Amino acid sequence: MYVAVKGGERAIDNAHRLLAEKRRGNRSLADITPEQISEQLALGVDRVMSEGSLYDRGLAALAIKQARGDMIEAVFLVRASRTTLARFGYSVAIDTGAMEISRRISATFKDLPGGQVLGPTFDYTHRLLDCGLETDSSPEPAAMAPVSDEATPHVLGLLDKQGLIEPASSGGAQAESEPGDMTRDPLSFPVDRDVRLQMLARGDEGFLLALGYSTQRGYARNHPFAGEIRVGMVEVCFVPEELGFAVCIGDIEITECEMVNQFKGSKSAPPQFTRGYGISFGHCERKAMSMAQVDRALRAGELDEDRTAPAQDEEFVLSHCDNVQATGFVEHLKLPHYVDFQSELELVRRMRREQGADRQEAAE
Amino acid sequence: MSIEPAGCRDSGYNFAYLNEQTKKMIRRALLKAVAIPGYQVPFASREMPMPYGWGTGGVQVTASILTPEDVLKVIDQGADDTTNAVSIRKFFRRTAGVATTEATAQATVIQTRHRIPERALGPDQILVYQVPIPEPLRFLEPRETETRKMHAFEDYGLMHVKLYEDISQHGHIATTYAYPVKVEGRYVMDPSPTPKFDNPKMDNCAALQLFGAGREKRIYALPPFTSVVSLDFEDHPFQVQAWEHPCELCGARDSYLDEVIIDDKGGRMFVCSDTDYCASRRMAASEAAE
Amino acid sequence: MAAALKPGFSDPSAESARCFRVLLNAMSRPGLVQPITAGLPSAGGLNPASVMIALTLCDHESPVWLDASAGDEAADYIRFHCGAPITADTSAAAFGFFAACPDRHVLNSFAIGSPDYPDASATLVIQVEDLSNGPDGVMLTGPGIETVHRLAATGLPDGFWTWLNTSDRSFPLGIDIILAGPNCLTALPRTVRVEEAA
Repeated sequence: MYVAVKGGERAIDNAHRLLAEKRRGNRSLADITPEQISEQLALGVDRVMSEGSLYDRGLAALAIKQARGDMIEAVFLVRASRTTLARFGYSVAIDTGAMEISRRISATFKDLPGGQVLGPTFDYTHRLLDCGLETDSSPEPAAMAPVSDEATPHVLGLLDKQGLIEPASSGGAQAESEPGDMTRDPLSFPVDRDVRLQMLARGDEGFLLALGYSTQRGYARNHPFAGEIRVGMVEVCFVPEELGFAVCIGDIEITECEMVNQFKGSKSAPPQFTRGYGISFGHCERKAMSMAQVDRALRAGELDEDRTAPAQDEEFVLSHCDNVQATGFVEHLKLPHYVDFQSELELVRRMRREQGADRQEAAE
Repeated sequence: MSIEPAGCRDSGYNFAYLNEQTKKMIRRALLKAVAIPGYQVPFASREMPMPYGWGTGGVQVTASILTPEDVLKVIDQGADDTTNAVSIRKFFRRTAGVATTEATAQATVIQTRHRIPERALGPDQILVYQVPIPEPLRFLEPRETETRKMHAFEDYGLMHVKLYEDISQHGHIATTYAYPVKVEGRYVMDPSPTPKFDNPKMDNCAALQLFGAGREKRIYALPPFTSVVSLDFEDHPFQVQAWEHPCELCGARDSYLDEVIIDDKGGRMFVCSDTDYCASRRMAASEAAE
Repeated sequence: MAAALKPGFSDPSAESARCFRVLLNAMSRPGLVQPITAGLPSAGGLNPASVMIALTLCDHESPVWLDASAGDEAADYIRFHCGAPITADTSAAAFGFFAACPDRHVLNSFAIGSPDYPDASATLVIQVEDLSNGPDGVMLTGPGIETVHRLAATGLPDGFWTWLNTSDRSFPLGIDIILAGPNCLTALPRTVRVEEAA
């Protein structure tokens, strides 16, 4: 006699226990701490903060530990926690021009005010596995340049002074009003650049990387130059309602990328360069660069360019760039679909039966 | 069948998890959805502690309508004991502390994925559907900007063309679940991926039916006693699935059946997908026999 | 102002949930009178049913319009308890509250949504002296109504039912109305059809 499978609840509880055990791994090894993750897997923490849309190194490190190093799962944990937090208001826009620079490079000018600052980068490392890291590593302290008082103006600002690049704008009807917030207002297409940038900043690094790459291979080619990439600390300020003036509430690390792109001009505008903008929490250079490329590609309509490539398709890009949404829906295919499958099965069997009967008739 | 009484809820969270501000936003969307039957109301769906595509829309709707006095039932594929149903029920026991039940008749709120219970719902019940893709036109036109216009202009020609192409190609309308319906003669609506077997239950139903799509950020509704017509053609009227055999556990001939494979030699049997319906029929039969 | 401010919900999550279910039930069953037992105060010209609706649905994302009879006390109450902005612009209001009999021109000035977004429309709360489902009421039909609901309301402006049936209402556009009695309410969503008793 057939008995239906029961005990879903016990199975789930046991699966959770097994997961916890697997997470801990070999118990003869030391348990990893969130502090260690935050310090030694810092770029992972930066990515989780960026895509999790919450600047909290401790929570992001904890999420990475809880997720067993699965970055998208960690992003998801951070997002789910973020959504329960009370909202006090919006900060004053950060001033990246006043950034305390730890890295700053420009591919457009050999030297410029503020200089080129290489900072901590993989760029010129030879990708040879370093067996020295297998055991305790205690690197030599790096030589630090003295902190300079020299201002570090934005490269694109220098171009702007000469009228060679379009002014920065949110590119929408409400260009000068308060920026939108897609976490509070339902999205409706087309969207203005402010909301687009917000979504790209939360978007999946891999997805944006692939799209940015596609624009360099001819799908919406727009000749990008890395005008400037800067990484460093910026102040975050907030205006409490009862005070009425801004107070600084802390510093956060930011990566900002401004791409300079070609534009041949139009009937109303002389030839000038155009902008693509990327930003992330922490040090996520690849993400900020890809984002800037995609931002520029998505401005096709605004700049009267033909929209032919995937990276220029706003609905396509924005509807699919969020990895928490994407992973949820792809992985939901694991859930039972007995009922739907049964109805398809019934139809396929019926159609095969009818076709068989037709064939038989034809043969007779 | 019994009710698991209301218990302690986890005081680390607000009642039913969502904060009051979020609930207000969803509640406003729900009232508009009820006032415009079949129209998809955009809402600022929140990230939930379960994955998108796993019922976040249904969970947000349930969380926004639940009162401490409710008795909640959660089903997936018609069954109370499928893993995701168990998981969602547990979520609400923990965050809302409400009473739960497996008995359709005792529930005041029923959250479902892919089925409508076999037992007719009453006026004091609310059915909450989990919806993956709320837009019935999405597979014909992937762009929201386009489908929104089609709804605005009541331009549903594309849908009829698709269904008719099925007929000319296969001799049948090849849609077997998520079969589109027309609500009060106006909006074409996706009934969620329920088998078309369940479509007739939506029409003129005594219970309020609410639909939540979390990832796609849409809420829609059918007030009680609303006209819900499955799209069809005069020469190809809408038909539901039928089985040659009754349920092999309870003998029902009027229920949707799951196919269970019992060996690797082609052996299979058919049993009710609605586990509560099947169990209550068997219980009634054994009581009658005593 | 703050010294005299009346209280809101004492247990917001449970009470607002119960109140919302009353409203959801009302909107799902047009014209059926729902009793209210929330024990809320009145605020200025707003009766307890209106107060309940404001506390349950309004917040900083939903601009509220109040008629002159609602008064400053009502505005202060809603600002404090709901955080909702008070607007004088009817076309920008998500909710409109009428403590006194509404003027038809004012009713017609609220947002009715657009063909793309018919939900971007106002919900109006109109206070009445009494509501009942007696045999003398107007006959209501439409979604949510099995056969017919009969609704009698006292305190509505003359010609209200004719206005409701004909006032430029081309579904799916329209406004949704809640009639708020002293301790009861009923809803008239845009789908409701009215036949006045002979």
